Amino acid sequence: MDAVFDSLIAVLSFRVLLLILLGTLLGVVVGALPGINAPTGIALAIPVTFNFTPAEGLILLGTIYTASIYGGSISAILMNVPGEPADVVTCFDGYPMAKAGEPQRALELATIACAFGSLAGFLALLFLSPPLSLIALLFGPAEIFWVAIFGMTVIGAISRGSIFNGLLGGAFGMLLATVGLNPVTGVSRFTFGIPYLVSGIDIVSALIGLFALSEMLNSFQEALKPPTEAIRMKTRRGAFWSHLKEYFRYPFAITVSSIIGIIIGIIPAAGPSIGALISYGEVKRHSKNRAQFGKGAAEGLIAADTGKNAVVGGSIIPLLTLGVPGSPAAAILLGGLIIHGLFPGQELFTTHARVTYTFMIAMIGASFSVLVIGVAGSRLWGRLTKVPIQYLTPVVIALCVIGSYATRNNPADVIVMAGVGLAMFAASKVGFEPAPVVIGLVLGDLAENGFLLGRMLGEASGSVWTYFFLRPIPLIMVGLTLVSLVLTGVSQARDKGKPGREKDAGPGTPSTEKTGPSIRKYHVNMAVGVLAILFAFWLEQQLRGLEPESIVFPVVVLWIVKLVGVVMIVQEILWGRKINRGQALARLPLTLGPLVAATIGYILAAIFVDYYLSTFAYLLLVALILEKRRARRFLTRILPLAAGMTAVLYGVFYWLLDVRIRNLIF
Amino acid sequence: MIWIARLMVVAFGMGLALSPVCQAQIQYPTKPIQVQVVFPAGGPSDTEARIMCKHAEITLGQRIIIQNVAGAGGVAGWNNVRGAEKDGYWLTGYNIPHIFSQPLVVKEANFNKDDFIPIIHWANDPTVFAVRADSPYKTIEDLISDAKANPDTVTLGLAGRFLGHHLAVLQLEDAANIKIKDLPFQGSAPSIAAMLGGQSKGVSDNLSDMLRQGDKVRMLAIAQPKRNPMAPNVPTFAEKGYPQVVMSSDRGIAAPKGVAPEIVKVLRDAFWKAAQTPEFTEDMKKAGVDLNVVKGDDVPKLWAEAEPRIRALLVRLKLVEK
Repeated sequence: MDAVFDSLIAVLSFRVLLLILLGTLLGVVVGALPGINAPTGIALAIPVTFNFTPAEGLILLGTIYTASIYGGSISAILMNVPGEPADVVTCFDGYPMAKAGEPQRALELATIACAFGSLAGFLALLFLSPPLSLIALLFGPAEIFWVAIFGMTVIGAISRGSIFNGLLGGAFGMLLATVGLNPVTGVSRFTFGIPYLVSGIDIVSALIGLFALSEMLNSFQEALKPPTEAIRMKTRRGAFWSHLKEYFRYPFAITVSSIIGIIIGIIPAAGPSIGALISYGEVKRHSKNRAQFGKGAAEGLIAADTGKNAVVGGSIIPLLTLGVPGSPAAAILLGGLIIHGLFPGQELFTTHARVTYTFMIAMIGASFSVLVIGVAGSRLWGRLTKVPIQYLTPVVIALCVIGSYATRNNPADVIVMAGVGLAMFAASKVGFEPAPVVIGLVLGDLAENGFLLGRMLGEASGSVWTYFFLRPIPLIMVGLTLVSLVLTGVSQARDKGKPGREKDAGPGTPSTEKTGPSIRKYHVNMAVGVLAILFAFWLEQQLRGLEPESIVFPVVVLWIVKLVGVVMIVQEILWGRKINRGQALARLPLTLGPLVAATIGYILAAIFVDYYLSTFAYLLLVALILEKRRARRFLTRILPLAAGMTAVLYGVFYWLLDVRIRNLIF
Repeated sequence: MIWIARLMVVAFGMGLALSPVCQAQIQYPTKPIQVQVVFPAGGPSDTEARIMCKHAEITLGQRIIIQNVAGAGGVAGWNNVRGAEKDGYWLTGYNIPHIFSQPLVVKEANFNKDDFIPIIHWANDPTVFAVRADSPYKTIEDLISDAKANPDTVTLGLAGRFLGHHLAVLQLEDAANIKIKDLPFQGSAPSIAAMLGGQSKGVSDNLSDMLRQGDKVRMLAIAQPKRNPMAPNVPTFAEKGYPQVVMSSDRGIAAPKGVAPEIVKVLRDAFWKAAQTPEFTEDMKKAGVDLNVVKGDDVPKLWAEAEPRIRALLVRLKLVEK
């Protein structure tokens, strides 16, 4: 225990505290920028730590890790831009809350949740590392397969619209995840002869398209509406304390999501996204105000952010004790450890105990540093939502472009982002939501590879059936999955009885003001069902001739698609008219056409001609189309804002982050 | 830009009445250089390239910007080699044997070893077979005889298909006439976790990764012609009668084919000089790298020896037609 007290004193030095603050600031910025996420941020900082002592280097990297997971919440809440998969869950309730005029409340609740979530994770790291690390070794491929399947039951819990749309969306996400070379079989699927697709769909680019781009296109629609009374932002001094009190009003959500986050963190290959998803799903399932989830429920936001940050501490547990990183970002932290000559394992707790405990205690300091910086900043960032759509939206779209480019420095990723985003924009008009697609995309890989590797292990051990079902952890996971399915069914049935339930209000689908000539939902659902079946048959054709092992997963998913399609059609034929009468389909206003066309043109110009010039032109163009007093404001507002924002993008991405997107003049 | 620079050099040279000092001079590099790393940030390929480039920045006098273009075991990044600018400002990390094996087995791969002009080579990470410390396999013979008696039941984890670790398993299967169930995980970490958790019976992995595991694992054999000084107690496959099993993961940096020879020379000299500094050696040692620095000029000879061996193996195992 001596080492612990020595370390406590070491942490309290001015230099270490300064490092923690610096790391937090860097991490928050890195996390808030789309496309630059925790793993990249840590990797960029590793060379900086060459000049530090091992403890200091680790503290800087660890602080960046936890702060960047928090930073993702900022862009998720304010702009609906998920910086990485975990932030998607923050979008569910954070963005609606901010949109409803409470950005500061959303930001502060998220900050508090992230800070206490990481605190829970790091306390587990400090006190329970050795026993908890054993969990990591219990989860082999078959067990991870079941974790993924269990995670997919969340689709049922978070679908606000029709469960069939949710299932189709989830299946579509899983199919996106199967694109490209399968790492287990080495066979590529759905590449259509395009070399780029061999390496698969970049998950971050797809997420940015699904959430941010589709939502921004929808926000154009709002800008075109006759001006309504501006939403007054509610800010009060001392609001923080009431938000802190509000946070602790949900002890169940906090406990459940902390524990889920820590355990998911420990399991190898499952990262913050799965921690946040499962936390959100479980808390929602047991919540009294389930109906509010997805419309700005504080409880949902708290579950998501507590869960995703508890993963950070959890993922470091097996890293330090076993050398097995619990998440992708932790794997990079491992690189940082090794560079300082620290090898994970027993030695870290004996020979290098001082370094290890200094790090662990400093991470508890880092949790509080996130709280301080987050709360101080939320007042500033909260004002972003007051920026009018004609100025904010094009900037966010410019961020979408460079963010999807920056993850792999590949212009094709931008095309994927744009394609997925436009498809989602169109699908949102017929009642689809991005969330189930994301769940399928994130869990699809895990499920398929877990299944394939587990099957090989099962064959080697004698029986695949026994290997997947008749062992303790798989049995527990199967039980949890079944319970989860039954509970979802029960709660859906119960909610159906309640009057006044808004069925289709989801993030990204402005459903309340549907105008113009309406098409009955009946026809839409019929069309969706038929199209889904045709699409499934067409995709199945593409798999012809590949060895069975490589197509078993996509084929199963395609059968689910066909089944759901048939059920949709049957349901509409039998009961469609009665249930869905009067449901209207949002009509695309004709004026939106030029804006969408301009956006597509901009994205192409940005990657093929010059990013910064195109961005400047696009910012000008959108402001000129949407600004009512364009003549008067051209010189005073439009021109300086466009030039200023382009300069900021250039400064941040070119100079600070070394992202080299196409540009002609610089 | 280059032609202006060249013109200036020519003018300058003529002004000095063709002084011998200026004859082969070339104005390079005059702007930051990009280096593509084809594996994700934080892995060994990335960490080592970052250390290498940090030191080469000093000897080149220009910034080097690392870009990670990860995916499909390196194929995603190496497919950029043919289309890359040949002005010397775009370089790429390479891994051996990946750039030999992948063009043969991955049909979407759009490159081969001749598209790379090696600049520097710094590491050989030998492949080892290892099991958990309490495994019934005490020696590599135990593993082989179990595999002989019970084909397809000995499970070995790999970091991916057709990496060096996989090829070593194929070499042993071929040499000892056994069937091993190889499990291609996504990277070393989950593969090692599955061994430590007892789901798989062992791994074929880098020596550096196994050294890090300390006494939790037992290394059964190392795929090198001679024993390695970092693990002197681990026998070689050759000692056990399988001299064919020789494999390591080698890393370096290359320019795309088509870059002017003068520029290649500048790069090779600068990287070589950087790799000779004690600071470089110190940083690489800290990262646990088994250094084996080879200047770019000498690498093609090594490749010419190694590549046919890999090709012959893949052809013999009917993984490649010809």
